[in-house]
Amino acid sequence: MYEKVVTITAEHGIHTRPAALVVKKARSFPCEIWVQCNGKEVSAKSLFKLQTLGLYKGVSVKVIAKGEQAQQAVQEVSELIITLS
Amino acid sequence: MSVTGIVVSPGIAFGKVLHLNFYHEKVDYRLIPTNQLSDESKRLKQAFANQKQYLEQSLSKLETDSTHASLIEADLLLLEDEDLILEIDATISKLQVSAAVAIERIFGHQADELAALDDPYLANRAEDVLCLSRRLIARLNGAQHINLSQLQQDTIILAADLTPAEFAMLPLEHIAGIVLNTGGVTSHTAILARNAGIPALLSCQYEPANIANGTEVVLNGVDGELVIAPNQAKIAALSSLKQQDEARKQQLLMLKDLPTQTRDGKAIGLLANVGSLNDISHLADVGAEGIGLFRTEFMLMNTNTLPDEKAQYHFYCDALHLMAGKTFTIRTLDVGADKELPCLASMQEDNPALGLRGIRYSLAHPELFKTQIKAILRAANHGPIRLMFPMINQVEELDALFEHIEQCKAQLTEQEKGFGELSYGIVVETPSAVLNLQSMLPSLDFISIGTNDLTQYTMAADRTNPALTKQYPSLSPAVLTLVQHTIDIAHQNKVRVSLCGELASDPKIAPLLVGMGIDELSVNLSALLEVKSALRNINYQTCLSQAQHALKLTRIDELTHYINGIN
Repeated sequence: MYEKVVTITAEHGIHTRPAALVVKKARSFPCEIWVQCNGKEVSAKSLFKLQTLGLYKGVSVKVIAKGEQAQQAVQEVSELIITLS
Repeated sequence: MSVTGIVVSPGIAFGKVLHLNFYHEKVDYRLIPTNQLSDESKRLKQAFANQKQYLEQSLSKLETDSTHASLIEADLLLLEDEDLILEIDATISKLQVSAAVAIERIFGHQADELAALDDPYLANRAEDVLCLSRRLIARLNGAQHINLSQLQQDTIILAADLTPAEFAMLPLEHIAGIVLNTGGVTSHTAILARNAGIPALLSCQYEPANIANGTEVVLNGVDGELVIAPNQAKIAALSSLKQQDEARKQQLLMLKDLPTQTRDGKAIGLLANVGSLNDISHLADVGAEGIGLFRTEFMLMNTNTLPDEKAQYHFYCDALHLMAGKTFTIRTLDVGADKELPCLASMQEDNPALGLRGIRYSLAHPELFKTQIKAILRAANHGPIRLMFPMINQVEELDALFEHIEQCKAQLTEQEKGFGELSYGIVVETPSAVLNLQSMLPSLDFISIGTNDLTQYTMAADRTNPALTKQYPSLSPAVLTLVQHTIDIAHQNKVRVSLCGELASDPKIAPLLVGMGIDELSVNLSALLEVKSALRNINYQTCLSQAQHALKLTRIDELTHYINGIN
C-alpha cells in the first residue's frame, strides 16, 4: 500500500470539473485508489463520492492506493491534485 | 385572480400558459419480486442513458464554457459515474425496491452530504443533484419531453422548477415569460432568464390544477404578480403600464452601458445602495458599477434567530457571485435607533439615536460582531470586499475594531479556514467623525459620507420626528460645510470619498456633490439611471460653480430655493 499527503492549491477547491479530472486519472490505473480528507475516505474513481469530501483550497488530503501500479497511481494522482487550479 | 411571486427578471408579458412539468414524479415504494429485479436494473440503465442523451443534446446547443454549459456538464459527469450506477443497482437488489426508489435514496444521501459541507457552491450542487434525481424518476415513470418545437408565439411557461438543461432547450423566441413555484434570485433560472431578457417570476405559489394549458395570463414583473384570466379593464390597465414601463425604460436604458461622466468628461463612480440579494441581482439592469453600501442588517430583519457564521458566509458568497468582481462595499451590522431586529434582544434606551447603535453595539457585543467579520473575511477569499463601519467617532474605536479583526483572522487560521484581505473604510456620519477624520485616515482605504445621519446629528434633530421636518432639511449649510471639510481632508490624505446618503440619489443635488469633489456616489437602484442622466447632461465647470455658490449660502431656505431653481 502506498500513500501521500498533498495540499489543495486550486483557488476554488476541487469541485465538479477538476474532480472529474482526478477521477479520470484514477480510473486509468488498475489498482484501488482512495482519497482521505476531513476524516472521510472515498474511492478516487467515483465523482459522486469525491464531491462530498469538501476539497477546499488549503485542505490536506491523503491519496492511498493498493494493488497493481499503486506507487505510480499515488504519484500521478497526488501530482494532479497539486497542479489543478 | 392573481398570485404574487418574486420578480427576478422584470417586465410585463402577455401570453398563454404552458405547463412544462413532468407531474410523473410519484415513487412507488412497494417491494419488487426477486425475479423482476433485473428488469429494474435494466430500466435504471435506460433512464441514465436517456437523460444523458438529452443533456448532451441540450449541451450541443450551447456555447462551451458558459456557466450554463458547465452546470449541464456537471450533471453529465454524474450520469457517467459507473460507481454511482453500481451503488444504485446494488440498492435495488439489496432492498428489493424499484429503480426509482433506489435513485431517490442514493441521490438523497448525496444531496444531504453536499448540503452539509461548508461551501455555498456545493450547497447549490445539492439542489442540482436532487433535481437530476427527480428527472431520472420522471423518465422511469415514462415522462416524455414536451415537443417544444410546436410552441406557439407568446407562451408563458409555468413549472415547478426548470434545470439549466431544460432552459437551454426552450425556444426563447416564443417564450414571453417564465413562472416557477420554486427558486429565488440566485437560482440558475433567475440568472438565465435575466440574461435572456425574459420576464420571470419565481417562488410563485400558483395552483397548477387551477390553470389549464392555454389560459390567458399576464406576468406582471413590475409589481410581482401573475394575473390569471384578466378581465378587459385589467388588460387595459396592464397594457398601458407595459407601454409606460417600456418607454421610460428604453429612454433610460440607453444610458446603461455609457460611462458615468459629465458632458466634458469628468468621470464619477456611480454605485448602488442595496439591502438584499434580490437588489444585487438587479444591478446589471441599471448598469451599476458596484455596491457602495450593502446594509447587512436587512438580512436579519425577517429572521428570529441570528444567522451563524456559515449562513452569513454563504450569504456573502452568494452576493459576491452575483457581483462578479465589481466593487462590493459591506457596512457592518448597523442596529439600534430606528432599526430594531426581532432576533436581537431589544434595548430600552431613553434616547436610542444617541444610544448603543452602529459599531457601539458591535463593540458591546463582540461575539456578534466577530461572527459577521469572520463570515466576511472568509467570503473575501472568493472576491474583493470593502468593509465599512457605521457610527464611528474616535480613532480608538477603530483600533478596537481592528483588534477584533486580527483576532478573527487568528481564529480562522487556527481552524484552517481560508480568508481574504479587505479594504477598510468608515461611514462618516457624526460631526465628531468629521472633526477627528485626520487621525483615522492613515488606517483607511476609503470613506463614505452618510448624510442622513450626519444631518440628524449636526442639526440635533431626530429624523423620525415629524414635528422636526424644518429642523431636518435634506440640505443645510452646516452639513454642506461639513461635507466639504470631509472631502478636503480625505483628498489631502489621498483617500477616496464616497457619499451614500439620500442626497446622492437626488438628480438635482448629485452634480453639486460632484462639484464639491465627491469621487463616487452610491444611490438607490431606482434612482441610478436618473442620476446618471443628470450627470451626463452637465459640464463639470457648472458643477464646480454650483458647489461654490451653494457653499456661500447661509440660510436653509436660500439653499433649498437655489437647488430647486437648478434645472
